[in-house]
Parts: sequence; C-alpha cells; structure tokens
Amino acid sequence: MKETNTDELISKYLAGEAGPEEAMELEDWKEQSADNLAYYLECEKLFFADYQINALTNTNIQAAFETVKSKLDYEGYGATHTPVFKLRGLFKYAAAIVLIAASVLVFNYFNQSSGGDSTTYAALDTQKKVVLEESTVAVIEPNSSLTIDEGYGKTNRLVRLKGSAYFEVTHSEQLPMLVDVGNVYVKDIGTKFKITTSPNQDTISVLVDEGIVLLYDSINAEVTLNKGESAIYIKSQKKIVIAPETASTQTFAFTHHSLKEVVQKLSAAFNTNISIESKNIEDCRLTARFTGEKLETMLDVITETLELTFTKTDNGYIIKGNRCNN
Amino acid sequence: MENSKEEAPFKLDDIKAFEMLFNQYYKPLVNYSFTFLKDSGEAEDVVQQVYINVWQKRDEIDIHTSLRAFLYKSVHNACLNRIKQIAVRETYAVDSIRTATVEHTSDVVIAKELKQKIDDAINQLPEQCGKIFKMSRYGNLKYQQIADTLGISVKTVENQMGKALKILRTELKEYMPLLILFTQI
Repeated sequence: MKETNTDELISKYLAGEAGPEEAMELEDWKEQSADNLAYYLECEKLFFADYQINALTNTNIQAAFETVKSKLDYEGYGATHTPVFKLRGLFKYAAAIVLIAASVLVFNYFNQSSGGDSTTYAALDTQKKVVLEESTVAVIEPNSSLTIDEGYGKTNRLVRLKGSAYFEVTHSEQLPMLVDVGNVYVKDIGTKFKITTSPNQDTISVLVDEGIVLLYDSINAEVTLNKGESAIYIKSQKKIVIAPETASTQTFAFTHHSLKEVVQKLSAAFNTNISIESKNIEDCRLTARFTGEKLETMLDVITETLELTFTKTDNGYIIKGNRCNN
Repeated sequence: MENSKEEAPFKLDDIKAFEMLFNQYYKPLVNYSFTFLKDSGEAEDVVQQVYINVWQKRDEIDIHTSLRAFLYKSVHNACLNRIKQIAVRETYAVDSIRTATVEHTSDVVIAKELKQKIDDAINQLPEQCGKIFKMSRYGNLKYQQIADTLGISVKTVENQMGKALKILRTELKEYMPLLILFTQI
C-alpha cells in the first residue's frame, strides 16, 4: 500500500466503505509489521471510540467456532460424501498454501503452548498480557512470543523473547530477571522497560521507562541504561548505540500560536532550518499538541491543518502557500 | 488453466480443515463486517453464517479466486444485504439495530474528559474535513451521499476522511493509551 494512501484506506475501511480487495489489502498491510498494526489499532480505537468495541477486540474464535460447528451437518460425513471445492488453475495451489498457512497459524494461535520444559506465550494479532509472577508482567506485542523455562521464578528468571514486549519487573537481588533476545541480554535492576525487535530487523531497541537495566551481548558489548534512556543493539555489527535524546520524544503544545512561532520552536528543537515561503502565512494560527512525533509528521499535520504544503530543502524544510484556512 | 479434468480437486473433506480456515480468517472477517454493521453481535452473526454457507455448499461452490477473496466477498455481500434488511426494519420499527447501537454507547465507559478531547479534536479539524468526518462518522452517511450533499467528488471525500484520521491520530496521540485502556478489557 502506498504510504500516502494509508490513512485514506484505513478511514475508508473503518467507515464501512471498503470493498473486499481493499479490506484484504489493509489486512496484508497490517500484517507487514507490528508498527503498521499498532498504527491501525490506534485509528480503530479513535474511530470507534464510542462504539462497543470490546466484543470486537475480544472476539472469542474458539467459542465462535463451536457455535458454527453446532450448526454444521458434518456428522456422518465421510466415505459416502466427497465434497470438494472446485478450484481452477493455479488457484488450487493458492488454496493449498492458504491451508498450509492456516495450519501454521492454528499452531501459533494457541496463545500458550507447553513443550517439555518450557512454556511459550505468543501474541498473534493483538497484545497479550502475561503475569509471569507476582507483580511481574510482560505485555507481548503482536507477532511476538515469550518463552519461560521450567523452574522460572524458582531456579531462574530467564525469559526468551522473539519480537517485542514491555516488561514491568519486580526486582530480586537473588534472582534478577534476564531477557534473552537471541544472544543479546537485558538484565533488570528493578524496572519497567520495552524491548522492540523482529526477526528481519537488524536492531534490538531497549527503552527504559523506570529503573535501570543492563544490556549486553555474549561477546563484549555492554551498557547500563537508566530511566528515560534507550539504546539500540545492532546485530550485524554486534555493538550497542545509545540513542540520543531527540526532540521527537518531546511534547510540543501550541495554542493559537502563529505559524512563525511554531516554526521557530521546531527549528530550534530539531536543529534544522524550517522557513516560510510567504509572509502571508506567517500569522496563520495553529492549535495542536504533538508527543513523540517525527518532525516530518508534525509538518505534515501542520500543513494539512492549515491547508499549506511543505517540501524538503538542502538544509531543512520550506512551508509553502499563499493563505491559510483560518 | 481451464482444463479442470487434469486438476485434482481441492478437498475440504474434514472438519479440521474447515476449522483451520475458520481460525485463520474469522477475526479479520468480523472486523471487516463490523465496519459495515457497527454492531459486534451482528458482525459475528454475518460471518458465522457465511462460514456455515461455505460448509453447506462446499460441494457446489466453484471458487475461481482464493478462498480468502471468496470469504471477503461473501462477507461484503452479506453485510450489504444485512444493511438493507436493517433499513427495512427501520422503516417499520423505531427499535432498530442502529438505534440500539447508539443506546449501547451509554454502556461504554469512556472517561468524560477523554470524550471531550476527542470532540475538541474533531471540532478543530479544518472546516470541510471536520464536516465530512462528522457526516460519515456520526451521520452514518455513505461516501457517495456525502459527496452528493456537498457537491464534491467521492475521491475528495476519501481524501478528506484520510486527512481527518491522520490529524486526529496525531492530535490525540497522547491520549491513545487511555483510549485503548477504556476500550479494552
């Protein structure tokens, strides 16, 4: 899906205007990354804020299947009946792939599976909250899983993470919690932290909300992160980079501010040059609040709100337009 | 491609295969259905009925596209039919599904402040953008109806709706965790 059409497609879908092809296109896009899914879910929550979304988000597939199953005439079905879907051409292979994929998904669908000595909690398409022990909670992001070994909490507190999760850990000096993210480890020292990664990503990002964590790998990279700090481990280079505190983590609140003032603030915060092409629009008024947004996203919203445009220049950005909508 | 004699038919010959198909697509199909019906119970009913039909007519259905596309198309058609039925019901009875849905909103606990933030953000949308968003979201008007009412193209409606969602999401980003908290168990 083209990025510029994402919002249009999402709103079209949520407004009940999407055709089957568009709905599938959106589903595919959602499955492409955890970020896409999170973006969509935010839009969905926003759009359906005052509808009964609870039942929707908590659809019980198993119970629904039991309901459907009770209405099926599958009893006695067997040798005398040979029902088929008549698929043509390449589509039969597509269908076979669909079912193979389905079987994989069914396997994954079981949110918790025990295999010998370990237990795996998997979040398929929505976040899953797991209480690992008293006061220690992990919120597993979609398409991610967490595995704990037998003896967790007694002889060890090792969890293996595939994908992303947020942890709220009650620290124990005797048994500190250790998250294994594929030979890269995050050790808690009493804390709340988030780990973000995926199998096809070269980076593992750790953000500490509270307390302190130790991030290290099995070779020699090691760093201690305090509250508010984040670091990125680059798998291919086996090194840790402390993320600089960028302006994108700040909140920008504008209340009837002029575009000139807004631009000055953003230019200073992002250490870039944002200019306004025409004096006519310098006094356009803006009321907006941004938290944790990228500069380009903010410029996008500002210019769309004021019905202006912006383009990137060699040394920054330029906002264009002759008049604003207010 | 059309030489079906040479093709081994794809068998959906046991309940397990059907269950896999169900597990894989049920939820996205319910989500899709909900976008039309705005009622989770109705949405689930429609999708369940589609699956039941698929099973019952499994030896009659001649699918030319993927199973997934077939299911989406079936749900789409079923929802449009259901909307027509609802419209007929609304003609004769005030107690309609949509009315009930609106009544349900009082059951949903949304913090007053949060609701106010959403309303404020919607009210701050650029004029036309806000008008279109409200007509779609609260007036339950179709894109075509909005376009006809305002004398603009459907494409403009699509564009303005996308723009509204983008602005609202950014404006309310700070409140998203709260919103998610209030809309999930």
